[in-house]
Amino acid sequence: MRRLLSSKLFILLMVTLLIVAVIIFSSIPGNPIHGITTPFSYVLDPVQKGIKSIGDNISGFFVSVSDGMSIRNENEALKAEIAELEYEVAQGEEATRRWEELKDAFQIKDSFENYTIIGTAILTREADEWFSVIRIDSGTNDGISVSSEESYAVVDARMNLVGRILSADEESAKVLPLLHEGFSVSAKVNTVNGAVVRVTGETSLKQDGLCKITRIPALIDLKVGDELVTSGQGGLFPAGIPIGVVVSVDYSSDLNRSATLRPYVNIMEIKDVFVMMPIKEDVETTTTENT
Amino acid sequence: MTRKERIRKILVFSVYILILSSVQVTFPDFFTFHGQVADLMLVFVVMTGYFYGPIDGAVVGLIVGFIRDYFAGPSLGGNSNIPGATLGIGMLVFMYIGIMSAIFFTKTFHRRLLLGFVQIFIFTIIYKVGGHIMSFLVQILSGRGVEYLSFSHIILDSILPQIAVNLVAAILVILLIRYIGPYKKGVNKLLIEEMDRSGDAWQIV
Repeated sequence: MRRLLSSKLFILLMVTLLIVAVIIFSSIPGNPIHGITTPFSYVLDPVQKGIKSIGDNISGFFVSVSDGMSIRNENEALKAEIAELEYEVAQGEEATRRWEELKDAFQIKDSFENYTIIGTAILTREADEWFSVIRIDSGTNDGISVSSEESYAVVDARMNLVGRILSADEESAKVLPLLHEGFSVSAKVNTVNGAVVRVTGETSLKQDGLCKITRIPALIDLKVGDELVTSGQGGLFPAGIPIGVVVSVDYSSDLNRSATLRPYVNIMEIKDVFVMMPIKEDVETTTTENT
Repeated sequence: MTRKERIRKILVFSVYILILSSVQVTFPDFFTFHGQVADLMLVFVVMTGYFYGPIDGAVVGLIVGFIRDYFAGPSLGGNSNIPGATLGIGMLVFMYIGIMSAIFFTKTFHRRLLLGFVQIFIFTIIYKVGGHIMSFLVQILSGRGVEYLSFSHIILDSILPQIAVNLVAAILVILLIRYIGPYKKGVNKLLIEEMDRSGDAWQIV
């Protein structure tokens, strides 16, 4: 018995079975496995942030040396542009004030008024084509909690769709990017009564930076150049978030009409993203109001 | 193994695992060729198993796989609306890569330095081919259809570029393991006893 327990093959078999159990258990919605990774984040995150900081400083030094002259010239041009923009900002502030007045008057609902927007930095990007989930620097401590029924949309600074929250621990969260083959969102053409379609990630298109468009209605023809935004169906993504532009269509088969979309966002270039969390109504306040 | 040697081994492996893993996922653009990121974690696990044996390879592979799952684990499971993040696939894959790289061809290659590159070549192909097969099966099982990358795309845009960047990355890893490695003079004394030849295990063809 002792020989069996100390046998390398037996130990390997036991470890393999344990890992398979972890894989199966972590695939179940609502499992607590991801909370177990929290202690490791206290070691891994500081190291990874330190390396990121060193790398950014080194690349920043070389960029500053090589771009010194062009930066000086650009600075002069920007100063002139700033003066012009300050004038436009003043004009814009006046227009915003008028818009607020009109909004109150006509009770125009701002699409994203019901969302709390949390800005956060991207910590890590893809390791390879299969390990391609990205991590951000906000977690459950910042209010990001994911369950089997709830997740959050992630956008960039221009409100273009980046992906959705996949899982979270205390200090960080994983984001499923829209190029990932597991990603799917209901979209519509950005016109009045635009057709509703489905945008998904696709393995064969991922390396080209494209997504697949499916469920195109039979009587509707998408055109190259059509802009797609989120439709709001399903309740996860608010309506109106820009996704991308149609770059090709394939109507060779009536049963399998599809198209490809180039997303607005380039995940390798953005450094910061924003998590959109719906504002939950206070239950006690609602109960008090009802009585 | 003395206590000092054991501490050195643990410290050096820990530092390399943390740094190489963090660099790979933090600066993927820096080590990219034709869309493929240099897989520093894979190269490190293969080289560890090749030069230092199956136990070191398995343990390092397990830890590197866990970190890979933590940083960028694949999305499987969940439900149709909310896909789940899976833990454990990287651990399983890299543990077996560490063991296999310590068993296959090591006796034929005698753990020679230059033949370590051949080992990287072989295991990069195994990893990429296995990954594409698994990815295709998952796609079919999840009902997303049978359309996948073409054979030429897989060879020319996935496997060959990955082999190229991994071989370049292997130069760095071998230098680190050899000259600033977990063992003195880059030799695991426990393995010497198993080898045919005595003396220095670092032979250049």
